[in-house]
Amino acid sequence: MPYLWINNKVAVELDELVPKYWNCLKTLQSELNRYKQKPFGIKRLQLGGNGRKLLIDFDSLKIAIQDELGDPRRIDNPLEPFFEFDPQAVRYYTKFKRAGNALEAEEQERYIINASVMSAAIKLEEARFQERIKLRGSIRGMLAILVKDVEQFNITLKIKHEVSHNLPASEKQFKKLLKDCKKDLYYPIIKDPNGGKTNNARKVDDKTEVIFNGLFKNQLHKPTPSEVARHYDAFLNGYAEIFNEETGELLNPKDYKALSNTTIINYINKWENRIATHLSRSGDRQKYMKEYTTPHQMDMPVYSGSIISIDDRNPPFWYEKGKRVWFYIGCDIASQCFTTVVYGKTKEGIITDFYRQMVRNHTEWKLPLPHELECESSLNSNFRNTLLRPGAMFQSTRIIANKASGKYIERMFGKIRYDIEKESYGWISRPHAKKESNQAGPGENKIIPYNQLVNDRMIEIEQWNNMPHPTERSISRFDYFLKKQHPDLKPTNWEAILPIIGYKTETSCRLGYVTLQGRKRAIANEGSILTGEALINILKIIESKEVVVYWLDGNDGQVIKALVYFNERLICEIVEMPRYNRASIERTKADHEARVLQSSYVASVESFARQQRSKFENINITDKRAKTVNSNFKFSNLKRFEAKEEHFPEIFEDQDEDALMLTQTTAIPSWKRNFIQ
Amino acid sequence: MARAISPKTLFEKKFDEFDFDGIWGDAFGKPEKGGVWIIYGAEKNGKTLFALKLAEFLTQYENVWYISAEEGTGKEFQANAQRAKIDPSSRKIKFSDYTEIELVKERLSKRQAPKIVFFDNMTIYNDELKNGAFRRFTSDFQNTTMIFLAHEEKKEPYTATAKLAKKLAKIYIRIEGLTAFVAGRCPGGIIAINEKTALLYHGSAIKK
Repeated sequence: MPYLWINNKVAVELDELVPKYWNCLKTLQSELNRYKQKPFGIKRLQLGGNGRKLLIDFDSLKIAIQDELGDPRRIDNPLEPFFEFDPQAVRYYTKFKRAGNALEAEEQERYIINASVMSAAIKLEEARFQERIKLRGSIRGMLAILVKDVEQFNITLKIKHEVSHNLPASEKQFKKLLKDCKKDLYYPIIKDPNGGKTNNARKVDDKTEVIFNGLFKNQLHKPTPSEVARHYDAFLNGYAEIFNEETGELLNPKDYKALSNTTIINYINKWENRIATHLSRSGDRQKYMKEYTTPHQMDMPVYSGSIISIDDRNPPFWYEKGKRVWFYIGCDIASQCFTTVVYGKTKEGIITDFYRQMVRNHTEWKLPLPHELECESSLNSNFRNTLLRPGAMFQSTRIIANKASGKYIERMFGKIRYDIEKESYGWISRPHAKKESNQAGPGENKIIPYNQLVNDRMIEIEQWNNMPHPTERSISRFDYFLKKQHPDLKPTNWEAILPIIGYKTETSCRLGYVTLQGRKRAIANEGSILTGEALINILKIIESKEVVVYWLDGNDGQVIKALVYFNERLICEIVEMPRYNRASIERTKADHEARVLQSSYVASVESFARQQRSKFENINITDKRAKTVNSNFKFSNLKRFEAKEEHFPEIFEDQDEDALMLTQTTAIPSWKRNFIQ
Repeated sequence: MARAISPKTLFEKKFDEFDFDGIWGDAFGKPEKGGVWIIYGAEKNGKTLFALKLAEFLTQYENVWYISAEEGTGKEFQANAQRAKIDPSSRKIKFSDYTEIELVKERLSKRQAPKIVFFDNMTIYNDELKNGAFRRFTSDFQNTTMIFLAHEEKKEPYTATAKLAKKLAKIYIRIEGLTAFVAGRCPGGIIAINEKTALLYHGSAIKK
């Protein structure tokens, strides 16, 4: 058989030509030599010998020989030169999803073939158009020919590739598909790409499904799926009416098809329906969430203080029959260390105590408060807009509606329950524990005295915190908590948290001191006592006034922070004035410093007083208002001053006061006067 | 006046015919030797190539004279002849440039005259064959198969003489898109001149 050689040439081997067309090799060789230098006649493709085969150019053979041998380049369909399996189609259809589902392998295969053939058809149409223009032929009726070519191409596909396409054979349909495929080759090939047409054949369409779910969800007595099936049957037969509560529309049974009970039950029990109907019907939210909510996948934090997870817990021990202690516990997730624990017989006020305790502990350990909080909503929702507002006590808060699997601390509780508490005296098992080893043993539940119970639990938490950290086993959980604090934690925002969780005391400011818990405390700012101008500015506001102090005590009972509020406005902080020894011989360096501080504190107040006094000038007042109405009442024997009239000599006015006359007292005759007269 | 014949005589008549086989046989059947055939089509659609292929095929039956009046025997014609796979060693086919009808007549009258003549094409011979010259010329050589090539206009042979030739032809072959559509007094059929181009132009419908 001739076969393809390079440059679209076809090679024919010697044994196919000799002796059928040439008697022997020699005659063939002589003919080859005869036409060797000529532009026509038989030609070699490859010289024979030295391990090579003699190859003759198929195109140089006589036409009769060519016809008998057959040309491997011969094509039966004009699509052949343009056809190739499209790798992009493979990628497209493997990734394509119809209504969320990937296509089946068989369907993908069909579309890949169809797209490849359609791609060839588009190329052929273009080439044919060009050819017809070139040969001055008509370009009418080309589509019909193309449809025929595509249809005929199935024969070639079956022979050469053992596959077949199913592109439309109808000219009208093919034309539409061709037009669409010119814009986007792959998408139009897909039958029902949105998965909508399959619904047309469905007996149970969307509106019927709405009826099932509505009947299943909205009825008060929580019907079983079988009951819903009976209701639907009654509705179809006219024994029951179904209406839309919102619009009041009565549904027409003629619009709905008869269905078997099994079908209805299966539809009601489909996951996508259950997830909605069970939410409305379920009384046990935990059970619902366990079945239908998807948990997040998260990596563990590395730094302690990044996030604290808190929750309440009733350890499985009784202090009276059926009564358990309420604990509220905070767990730093990175270290798994329980950093805050409070307890009580009820949960009243336990949450406020818990936050106070958290502040006390962190202050004692000289650590800032955690960055983020993860908590349940039942107790914490009251603090949502105050204490738990981002930036107040924590920078970020995640309040999870009560969901058992939502909080990290729940898992820690599980561990503590089965790894530590289980061995303790009086431990009560769950009534339906999965593992047999966690199920109740024989005998009654034990009663443990309250104080002992609390003490035991606290010791267990201590033990837990002192156990090795799961990833760094060389250090305990608590050590990990202390050492691996996140470097970017914000300092405690006392101003935001004290008015909410602090204790409130009404007191007053006297002579520069505010009394709290029977102790005089000096005015300070950010922990340091104020003196001078800053102190005076505060005193101008609160001296001799009633103020409110919010404060919090530490684990040792001492006040760790106290803030003074006047008219609901934060004024200052108060701290204890450092004391010094009365005897000078016993004073330490700190005592000296305390004395200097106290002196300057007192001096600030006194100098202010002096300064104020010097501002005032010596000004007085004479009151001229009459104190009596008249003088009708008088004592007769009383000597009193009476005003008498005095007579002064009269002075007459000089009429010619201004006309001054010079009286001549001398009689000396003058020469001048003689002339005047 | 020619003698009239009876049906019996008519039916007993024997004719000299081409014993075609293969694809040619399928399209042409077994046509009688002699008479006029016409090949027509638009330019560059493969008339000459088809004519050369037919000529090559006909060399199996008769000597062929191919008058390349339009193109001559230049480079293009040579390439066409090679494409048509004319056997270079064949002595049964001869090629000529334009030859006047009178000289053609002279040659055809000779004893060893070729029995098949290709005239490529009629437009060149238009002046010599018009006004009844064509009819007279063909009737003078009834035993010679004359195959005329003609251009096409509005899907019909061009020049009035070519139209007349089609009317008088036993077999006419229309060439379009490297495909020959054989019709006339024969089974008829389609022959791809260049299979690849024919398929491209006409689609798979031309394949049997």
